[in-house]
Amino acid sequence: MKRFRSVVVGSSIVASCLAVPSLAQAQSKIPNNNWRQDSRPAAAETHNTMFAAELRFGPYWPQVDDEFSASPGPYERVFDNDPQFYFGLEFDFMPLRIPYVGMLGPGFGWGYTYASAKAVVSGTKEVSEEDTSLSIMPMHLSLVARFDELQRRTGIPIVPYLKFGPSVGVWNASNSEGTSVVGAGCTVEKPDADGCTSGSGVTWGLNFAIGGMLSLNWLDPRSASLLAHESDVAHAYIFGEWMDAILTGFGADAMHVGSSTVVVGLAADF
Amino acid sequence: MLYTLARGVLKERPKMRTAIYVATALVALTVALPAQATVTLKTPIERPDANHPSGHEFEISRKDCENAKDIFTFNLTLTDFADKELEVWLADESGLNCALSDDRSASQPSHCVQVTHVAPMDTLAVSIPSADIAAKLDGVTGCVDSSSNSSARPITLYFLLIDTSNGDVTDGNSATPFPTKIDLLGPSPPTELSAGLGSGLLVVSYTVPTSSDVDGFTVYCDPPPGGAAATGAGGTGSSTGVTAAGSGGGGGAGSCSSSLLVPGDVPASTLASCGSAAKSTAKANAKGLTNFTSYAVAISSEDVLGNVGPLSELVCGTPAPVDDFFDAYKEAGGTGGGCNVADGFLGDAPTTGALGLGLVGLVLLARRASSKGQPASRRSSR
Repeated sequence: MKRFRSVVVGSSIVASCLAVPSLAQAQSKIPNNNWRQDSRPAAAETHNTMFAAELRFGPYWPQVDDEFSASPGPYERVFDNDPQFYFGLEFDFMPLRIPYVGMLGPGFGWGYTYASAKAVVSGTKEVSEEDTSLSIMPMHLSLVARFDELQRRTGIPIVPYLKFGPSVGVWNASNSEGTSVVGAGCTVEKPDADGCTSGSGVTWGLNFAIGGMLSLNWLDPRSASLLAHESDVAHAYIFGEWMDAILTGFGADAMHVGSSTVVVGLAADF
Repeated sequence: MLYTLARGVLKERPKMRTAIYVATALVALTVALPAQATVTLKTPIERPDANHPSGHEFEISRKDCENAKDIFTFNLTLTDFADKELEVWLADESGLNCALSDDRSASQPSHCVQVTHVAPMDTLAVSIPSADIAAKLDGVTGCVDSSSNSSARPITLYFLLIDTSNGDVTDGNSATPFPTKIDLLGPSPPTELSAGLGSGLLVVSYTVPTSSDVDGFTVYCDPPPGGAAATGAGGTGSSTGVTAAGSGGGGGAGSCSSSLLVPGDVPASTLASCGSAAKSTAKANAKGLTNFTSYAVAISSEDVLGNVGPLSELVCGTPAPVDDFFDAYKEAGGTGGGCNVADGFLGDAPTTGALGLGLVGLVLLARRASSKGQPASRRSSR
């Protein structure tokens, strides 16, 4: 009984402490009563959005070594197999609304990732002080389907989506002098001479992604409503997606610079 | 009769009487006071042979001092200069005021120094070589500053109209000050050098000096890129006289010597550099080197005026071929590469990103603009 009483008293104190800030806030300004119709969150979503923008982050494992049967491949030998940091932007235009399903349209995504290490001295395992790097800019033009009818009709703040379309990876391998060049007598200054191959290229492929977005509007419906009213941004989301950038060149001579990875980020529709 | 008439008028008109008294007093004052001499320095000040960054246009570096063509031309307009001489004085301490005769007196422990003097005229162009100005500083001989402080030394030039009494030029109009700086010394060099090898290059790491005067670093190599060793015949397997701590790799600052690069000496202006680095960078590449050749490397700091400081300690190293990622990729049988499109794209990734963001911004604006064009009833329903 004594133990129960002390628990009750302790809980009361904690509850009081938690209540103090909101009480103080209530005393210091006009209460938020949501009395204006404009400010009230709608019971069901009615925004007619057709655009979406994403800020994306995630690990990236360039699949360079998939081109080779021997293991470890050149990428792993130089850069190890640690994931590289990937960030990107995406913009979708979805003018087509399918009743009870969602919206559909094209989307363009741009990303960037970079790997760097010290080159090794030729014929040895000694590490030099010269930097060697590989930068990749994966881009895609996909058909995007965002299934937001569940959110619109029920208010459940989850929007699954799919993306599929052609993609391209623009890449560049460089050292301390600039873009790498391979070939007898080739220099960075003359990468186009006969027999020289410069360390840069374009690899075509496909992009596939499946993911889900969680609307953040429920965290603060009043602010979300104001944001929608003043800036046309109907929802802010966090999202997670599995992305498969299949950048293999469709069998042509090309460096495989794609990655299968999980990407997270922030998104907004408007 | 006339006197009586005037007296009558003045008596009748007190305002006119007051005006006449004031005018008479002004005329008397003008006659009694001596003529006021003025010196006006017109802008812009001409200095065609110096090219310093903004904010340092009129500062004097060692290179300026050694350039006989670097001449300041001050255009002045003078008035009431009879029996006076135009003198140019230099103060190199903040407490000195060359307009005061005491501060111009050589008997004082610190005093102004006369730079030049010219016969005054209504309009006058006074040309002074920067070497003549620098030579008046304490401790400066032949553009070499023997003082220990490498920071720029502030100076003020005074253009004074001085009469034969050589007294104080107390009237501010007769003395026009022109503040600037003289900096003949480069900043102190970086320390704790170490060299790592690369293909045709050495990567030199160092500790950046703490002096706020530093604006960048220049790397010097012995032998210089594309040149023969200045240190005589080399040993076996090396065409240079550089003595390195080791061969076939990077070295420390230990047993490493060169007669071309002497630590503590300011490198000759004719000595070709083999690399450079920005002021906040603690790593510089010595480029254009030949693999399997030993090099001695030293670094000097530069200030914003281009004054080169003394050379650092030496570090030796021997460049050797390295395998970068693309070498490894091609050796493994990789088929990609050979397309230069990436140079344009990846060389400017931030710009591309900014363009993407700009596109998103434009679409947002368009969307907002179109929604504002909708009827109010439709907007309010959203």
